[in-house]
Amino acid sequence: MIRAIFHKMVSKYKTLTRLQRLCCWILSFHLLLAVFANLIANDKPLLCKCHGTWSMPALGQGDRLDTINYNTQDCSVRIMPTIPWSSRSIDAKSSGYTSPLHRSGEHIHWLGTDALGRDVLAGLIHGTRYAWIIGLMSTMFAAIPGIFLGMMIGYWKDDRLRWSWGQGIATCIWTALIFYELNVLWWNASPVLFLLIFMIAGFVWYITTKLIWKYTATIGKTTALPLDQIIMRGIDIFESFPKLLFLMALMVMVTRPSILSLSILIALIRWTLFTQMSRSETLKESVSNYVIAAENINIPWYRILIRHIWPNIKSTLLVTAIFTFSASILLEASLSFIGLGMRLEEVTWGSLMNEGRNYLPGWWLSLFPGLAIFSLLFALNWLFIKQKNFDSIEEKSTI
Amino acid sequence: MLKLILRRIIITLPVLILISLITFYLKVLLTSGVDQSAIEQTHRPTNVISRPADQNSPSMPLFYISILPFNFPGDLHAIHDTYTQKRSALFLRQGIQWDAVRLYLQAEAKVYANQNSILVNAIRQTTNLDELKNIQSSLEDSIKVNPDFQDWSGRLNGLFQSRHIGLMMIPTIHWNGLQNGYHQWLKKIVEGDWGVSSIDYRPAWTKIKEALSWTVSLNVLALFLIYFLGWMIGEYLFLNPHSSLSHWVQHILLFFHSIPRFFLAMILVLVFASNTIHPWLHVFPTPGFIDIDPGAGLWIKWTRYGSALILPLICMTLPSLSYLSRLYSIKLKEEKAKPYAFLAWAQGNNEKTIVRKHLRKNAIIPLLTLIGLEIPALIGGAVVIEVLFNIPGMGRLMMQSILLQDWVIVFDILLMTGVLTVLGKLITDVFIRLIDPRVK
Repeated sequence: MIRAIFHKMVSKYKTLTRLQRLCCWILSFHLLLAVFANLIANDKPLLCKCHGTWSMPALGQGDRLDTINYNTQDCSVRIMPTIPWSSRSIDAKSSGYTSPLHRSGEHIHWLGTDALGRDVLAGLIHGTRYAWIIGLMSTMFAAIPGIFLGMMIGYWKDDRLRWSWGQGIATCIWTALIFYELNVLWWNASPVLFLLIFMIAGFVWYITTKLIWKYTATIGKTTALPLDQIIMRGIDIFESFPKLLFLMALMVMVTRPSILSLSILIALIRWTLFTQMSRSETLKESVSNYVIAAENINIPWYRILIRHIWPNIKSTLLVTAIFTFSASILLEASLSFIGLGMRLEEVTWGSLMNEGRNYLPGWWLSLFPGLAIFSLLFALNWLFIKQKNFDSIEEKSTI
Repeated sequence: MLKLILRRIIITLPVLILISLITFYLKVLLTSGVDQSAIEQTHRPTNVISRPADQNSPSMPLFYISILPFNFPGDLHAIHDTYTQKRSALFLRQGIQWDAVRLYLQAEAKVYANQNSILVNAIRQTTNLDELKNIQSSLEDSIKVNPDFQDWSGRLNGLFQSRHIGLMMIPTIHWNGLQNGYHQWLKKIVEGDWGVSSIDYRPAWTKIKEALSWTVSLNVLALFLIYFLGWMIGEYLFLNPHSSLSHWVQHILLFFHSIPRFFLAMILVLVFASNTIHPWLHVFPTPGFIDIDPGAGLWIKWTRYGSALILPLICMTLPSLSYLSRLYSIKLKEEKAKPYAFLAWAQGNNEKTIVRKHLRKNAIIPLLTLIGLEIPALIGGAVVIEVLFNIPGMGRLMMQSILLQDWVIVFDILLMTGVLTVLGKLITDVFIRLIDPRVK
């Protein structure tokens, strides 16, 4: 199977233009750096024999409390990574913005250092990892609820979900009550127990709502629920805050910014695009003949959505996902660039450029991270987005 | 037309209310839950933003109605002592009746006032009933002797007796009237009292107004440049699709489109606004060193700082040109395929005349709808560019307020950008409707 995938990739690669091939190489280079960042730039040796034992500290093996220095006195054999500094390690001998190709002892700072003496190249390589993780995670967090919501409103539209007033009011009150009980239980139950209760509550909600739905169907006048209108107006509200300002205000809520919290916040800003795209695609598909045929032979709606509509809209949503990936990398970089990103000790592309902004003669601090962002975004844009939907308006609102 | 405008306004009103609700909710989220952060304060790295100190206790309920468990009193917020208020809420959340909690806290206060030992401090520090039980058993000797402790012990037993978690499952709805946090906050803002900045004690509205004038004037100029140049280039691309110049222009603009704005800005600053490359290239003033006076008149500002504003304008204009010009030329192509353009051609007009007289009007409408999408960016400002070039606009004000923990300004800006964006979109919609009555 691996061989088949490899052959497919090679034959696909052969059809690309020269610039597209270059973009492929840039992307795989970035991915390699992100995956093997610890093996390329690390202040611990790849393989060493310290105090008579062999270990591979760069892979996280051995001494976790940093009691061993891994210096030449302790180790009889020591193989260092290509760049013997990690993004956080401070080289005291070359602090205060040393320019590229600065020699420090037996090693060279290829791209110079920052004010504290942290190696820029190491920061760049570890920044690649941060960028990919944040991009992938925020895309995932944005895609899952966004696509779900978008497909739902695309399928049910404004007039297809019909309910009686009795059904509507009963369901609303019941759902609110369940949330209230969960809140009370949240105060009194331990987190693990609460998770269990939460899942049980979801199950109970589903079954009871079905029952309520059944028995209140005849109460009151039957009307259509304008689900599409409601959700789209909600999205309008989200969109009315300028993205970066909104993100900045949300960042304030987080006491300790980490990769996870940052990507959740970015997802909170970016999910609307997924909803809009999947909604419009589902709207287009749901009037086509195969969906109508499926409805006529009584296939349930969730099966239609998953088995019939999803395979036809996923290629478009992949493009949206890649756009979101690059946009969230850009958003994180801009946030770090103005000094509101992750903690100071974490080195990302944006934080390196932030240092470059504060010290203009240090051109290497802003040039190389900028080139890294540029190359990644350019490759992604050129390979996946440019050709497919140039007309999409969303592309314009990058910042 | 008037009917349309009225209908749009009616649709807009709930949106505005929801925006104010979101802002208020964020504000409440920030100002509650202070307890942990006060402890963390000492271990915090410098760039991590700390939460505001809990100076004023919430002496008002948050919203018009509050849904509370059965054992909660409706007027818990009326307790002025924040410490007691939070502590009683923590007891109440365990399902204990309000009377028992009140009596217990009174007894506890008496113990705390008269006795002083480590165990008494421990009493004040926990709301966990099991821990209190342990303390009670280790204080057994004092309980026998001291009437205060005796009282306390009795009240503690009362807590255990009146604990019914089942009762908490019943929600009660309290109507709080107009004396609630949201209403008072909104009232103040509508009346024009936007609060006072905690850094320099100037009214928040004055600060925001100054920032807004910078941001809007700069962005309107940038938008004008983008549309003007995009229009010119788009028309050139349409009229000469195969010339080598249009080929090069397209590729160069696409290159600028892919560059992140702040990287482009950074490069421009390094090359043209500092001595980093060569002193001869240092044509524009270095961003950090010009001190833009926010109080001066707009004309004086523009003439004095004009040279400092050229680079920001370039950074805001160049990346958008590719998209706009290509969109315009594509739309022109679409219009050219329509019968009326063919008729104009058949009448013997040359291509330039057809574009000028017939195609342009129709092809420009999609571009005008784009302005509506640009409005959030227009008001929020290109934050990064403002920060880098030291322009005292909205983005920079927001960043500084966050870094200096000036929360009044942060949430005022958030609310105002949201509201202005909605109103701006409303105006754009009506405007487009006026231009092109076919638009639904």
